[in-house]
Amino acid sequence: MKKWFLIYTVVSLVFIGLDAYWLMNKKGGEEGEAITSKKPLDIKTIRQNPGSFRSHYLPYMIYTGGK
Amino acid sequence: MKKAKSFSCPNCGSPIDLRFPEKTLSVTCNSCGSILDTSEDVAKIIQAFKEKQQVKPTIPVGSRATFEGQPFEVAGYMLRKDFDGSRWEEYLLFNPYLGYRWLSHWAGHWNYIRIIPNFPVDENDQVLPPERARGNYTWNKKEYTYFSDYRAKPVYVLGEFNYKVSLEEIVKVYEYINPPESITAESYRGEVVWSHATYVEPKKIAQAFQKPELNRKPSGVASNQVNPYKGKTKWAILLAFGLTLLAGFVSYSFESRYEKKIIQENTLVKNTRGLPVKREGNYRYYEISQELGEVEFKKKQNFRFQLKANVDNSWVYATIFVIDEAKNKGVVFTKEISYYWGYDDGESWSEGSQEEELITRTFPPGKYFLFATFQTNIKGDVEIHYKIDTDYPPTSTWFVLNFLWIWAFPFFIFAKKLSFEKRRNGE
Repeated sequence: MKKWFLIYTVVSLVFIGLDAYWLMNKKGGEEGEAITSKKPLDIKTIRQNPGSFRSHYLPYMIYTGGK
Repeated sequence: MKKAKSFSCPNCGSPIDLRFPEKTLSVTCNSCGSILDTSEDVAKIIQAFKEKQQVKPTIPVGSRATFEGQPFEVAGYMLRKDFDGSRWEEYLLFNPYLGYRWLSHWAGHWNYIRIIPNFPVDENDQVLPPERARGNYTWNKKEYTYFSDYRAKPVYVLGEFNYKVSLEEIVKVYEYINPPESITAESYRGEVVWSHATYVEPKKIAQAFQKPELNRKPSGVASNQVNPYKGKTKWAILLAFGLTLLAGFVSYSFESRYEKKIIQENTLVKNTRGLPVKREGNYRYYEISQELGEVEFKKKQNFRFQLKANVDNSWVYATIFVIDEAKNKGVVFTKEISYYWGYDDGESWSEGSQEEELITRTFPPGKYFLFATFQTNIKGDVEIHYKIDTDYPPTSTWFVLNFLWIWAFPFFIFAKKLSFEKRRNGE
């Protein structure tokens, strides 16, 4: 029984350590879908006409499926 | 000094030597197995065996062992059974100064038993025979809980006994437990004999007889065997509390290092009636685009988007673009905000929420342009409230896993404890 208590405590401490590592290195969060654009982003135009973003830029955006 | 008494078996004529002639009232013939009455000068047959049974005791009659710091000799052996099919062994031990003790053995479980002269009392402080008493008994300031009652009879005897043994004797047994102890009442023709048993680990029995082969792992659960998980649940819960506090403290300490800076909070109000209807498959929707701002990261950071919309049996689908201006690269995140409710068979139901949260991965230092498009099926005023934080701690998978792990253990111990008790009652 002592053995099980020891294993339990050690595993819990390992988890606590991993949590600390996770937070320290700012891991986690949603990854999202990576995109890249063939056309330079013209923010000025987008600001003038926000609705143009999709129509002007999305066709040039390529989902790369990675980060 | 022991003085042997010799005589011939009246059944088969074989010689019999009594080891404890002053105490022995019955003996079995080693040759034919007949049980003989030795209370008088001439041995009489109590019960003659028609055919000799082949039963080999785990411990041979005549073996010696040390109990209570004193040497004992196995005087007699009895194999008993109940009427549910269980069988167990009982050994009569003798020491000239301490008298008789019993040792019982079932499936590797051992009990050291002595007859008790002072009768236990029931809950009303009454000395009552078990068939008339109800509930628990107290003996020597200890309370024993009723465990079971059954009928038992010997099926095979060997050696010498301090009473007249009969294979026809069916006794009613009442058992009360307080592990590792138990008290037992054996009732036969109005006479009740009480005994007290202490559970003995096989290792100690092996040491007492100096027979290492007796140190075998028992099977099943004995009635008065100590539950190995007793008291452990409490310690497991205390340990779980301690580990939860430690995990919480560590998590809080590291989370407090995040800046949690609000960079934008705004409410977007738009009437969709003036917007063109878009189609995608069977879906018809309106689309609203909104620049969410620009932010420059000096170090790697993430985003948290909190979104709230006036959805009411409707939906808003948010697509958020985080674009690295210099590299023309970006990441797209999506989040649906939907809330539906209604009545079915008189019962109200709801699903979804008017609020959603999205925490992204971290982005390296750089300048980011944030842009969002909101698709919705709301006709009329759409109100979307958004709040954007940077450097916000995500829910740590490890913390959640650890929390589950930490609290699974006490539940596991508790389940094992219950399972042990269930097995005890099932045996």
